[in-house]
Amino acid sequence: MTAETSTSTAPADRVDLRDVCIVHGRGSSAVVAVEGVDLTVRPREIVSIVGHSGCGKSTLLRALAGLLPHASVQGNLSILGRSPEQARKSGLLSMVFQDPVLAPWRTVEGNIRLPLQVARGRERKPSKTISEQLEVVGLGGYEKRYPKQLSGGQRQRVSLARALMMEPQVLLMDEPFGALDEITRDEMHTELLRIWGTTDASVVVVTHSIPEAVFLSDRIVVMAAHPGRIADVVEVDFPRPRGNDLKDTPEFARIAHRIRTALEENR
Amino acid sequence: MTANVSTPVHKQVKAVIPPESRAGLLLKTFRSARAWIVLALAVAIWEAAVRILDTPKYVLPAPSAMIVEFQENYSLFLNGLWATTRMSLYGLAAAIVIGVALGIAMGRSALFEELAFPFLNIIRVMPTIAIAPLLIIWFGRGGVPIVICSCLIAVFPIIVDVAHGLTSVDEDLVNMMKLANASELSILTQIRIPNSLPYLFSSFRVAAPGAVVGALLGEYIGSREGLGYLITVYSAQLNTAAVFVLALLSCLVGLVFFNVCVWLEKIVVPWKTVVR
Ligand SMILES: Nc1ncnc2c1ncn2[C@@H]1O[C@H](COP(=O)(O)OP(=O)(O)OP(=O)(O)O)[C@@H](O)[C@H]1O
Ligand SMILES: [Mg+2]
Repeated sequence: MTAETSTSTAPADRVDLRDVCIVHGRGSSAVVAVEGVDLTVRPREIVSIVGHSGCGKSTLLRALAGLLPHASVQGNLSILGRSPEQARKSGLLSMVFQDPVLAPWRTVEGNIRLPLQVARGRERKPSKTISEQLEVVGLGGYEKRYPKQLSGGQRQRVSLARALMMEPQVLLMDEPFGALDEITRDEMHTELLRIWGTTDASVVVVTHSIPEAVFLSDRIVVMAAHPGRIADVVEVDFPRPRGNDLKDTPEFARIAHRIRTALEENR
Repeated sequence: MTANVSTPVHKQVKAVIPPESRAGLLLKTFRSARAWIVLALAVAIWEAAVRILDTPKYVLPAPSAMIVEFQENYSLFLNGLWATTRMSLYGLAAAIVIGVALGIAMGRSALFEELAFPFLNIIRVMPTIAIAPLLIIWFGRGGVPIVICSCLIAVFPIIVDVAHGLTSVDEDLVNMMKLANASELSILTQIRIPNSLPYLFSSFRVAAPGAVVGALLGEYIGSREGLGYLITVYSAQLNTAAVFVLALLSCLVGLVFFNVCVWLEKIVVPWKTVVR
């Protein structure tokens, strides 16, 4: 009976993609970037997308963010029952890019405030102050610095703080740690999981790093190219919280191996 | 007492802080002044050469002759300097207003750029010296044609750089704004315009001395005052010393304009300098 209650009250999927196709351009110069993708992301789930370069990962993420022209996206995309554009306009989405993309003329504090300041029709007040948010990403006291005065890893933390400040239902990340060195990256992984633990967000993260995908995710989507499609979905059920030691276990290596095999079969 | 104890690798080495530069006060003063000392030497050699070789005054006047010339007519020269400075400032101001407006239009509207581009390019490649007589026919001898000449030379770098600054925004920064549901106006004021400021100021460094050149040109062709006009008068009299003085004063205006722009740039856009 308890089981039945829990299924009937289970929250709806945060993200639901059905038969999604994405075509860049038209006519003879058209490129089919993504074809026939089905994907669901549940509340507070971390899903990573891996695949060879050019297989359409960023394109898929941009479609989820409602950043692509209407004409190029086909199929059903729903984020909490809304179209990506509506979801974007309701402030349900945030995105972290490969580069921090901070405004060099604004301080750290000013950069984090920027999206809040320009968000139209947003009534929700952020539950944290900017200083508290900076504290969360490990940059307490850096409010008045300019992006130029930070290291690469610190800039990416600011970018993460800016995205989290919006308290999104779905956090989209496109190779967020791709520009960082391995030591900083490991540190950011545990940080991200710790921070994510304090939020309500579902995360979709595109990555080139297999260990990153295995470490972070509940599910890993392996994409194949030409056209971009889903080749394999791997469940990862390590308990949370996860520590960096996990990366040295045989179970971790086994899953990483499976992803690598799937990638090689689909090059 | 087993072999497992390793010696600590933390050595007691201290970094040496280099002491203050040993160069004495005299040497430091010399270093900061040496460019000026070389300049003064060059002027001295010039003076000596003119005296020894006894060159005719209308070919190459001695620096001392220029100083005498300046002392005799300084109120006339300074009036000219002020007139040219004023005309250049008006020209530059007009160029900034028009340049920023056209630059924004070109940077924000592909259609406007497509339609306006041929016109602007024709005006750009047309030598101002060819248009100047026309301007005098249309507007008469006075301030207007001079300001237009000045503006014509100064406006193009501003248009080009403003348009470039607006379009060279990191696309993901704009995407970040769109994800926050920002309006196009917010994206313009919060991202595109601040992003274009370094380009704007770097264009001033070209436009400001250009405005001075344009004003001189306008005065040269049709005016009753200003350094450009005085140059035509004194060169007709073969008063070479006065022409040299006027040329130096023109340099002075250009230099002041340029340096004010560099100084403003440092204050307004401390985060970035566009190298061009
Ligand atoms: N604006 C565009 N116009 C035309 N084709 C595009 C456009 N953007 C991407 N493509 C093409 O779509 C395909 C998918 O691109 P996408 O950027 O999504 O790849 P990706 O998986 O993110 O690659 P990477 O791992 O290198 O970032 C590529 O073949 C690319 O050339
Ligand atoms: Mg990509």
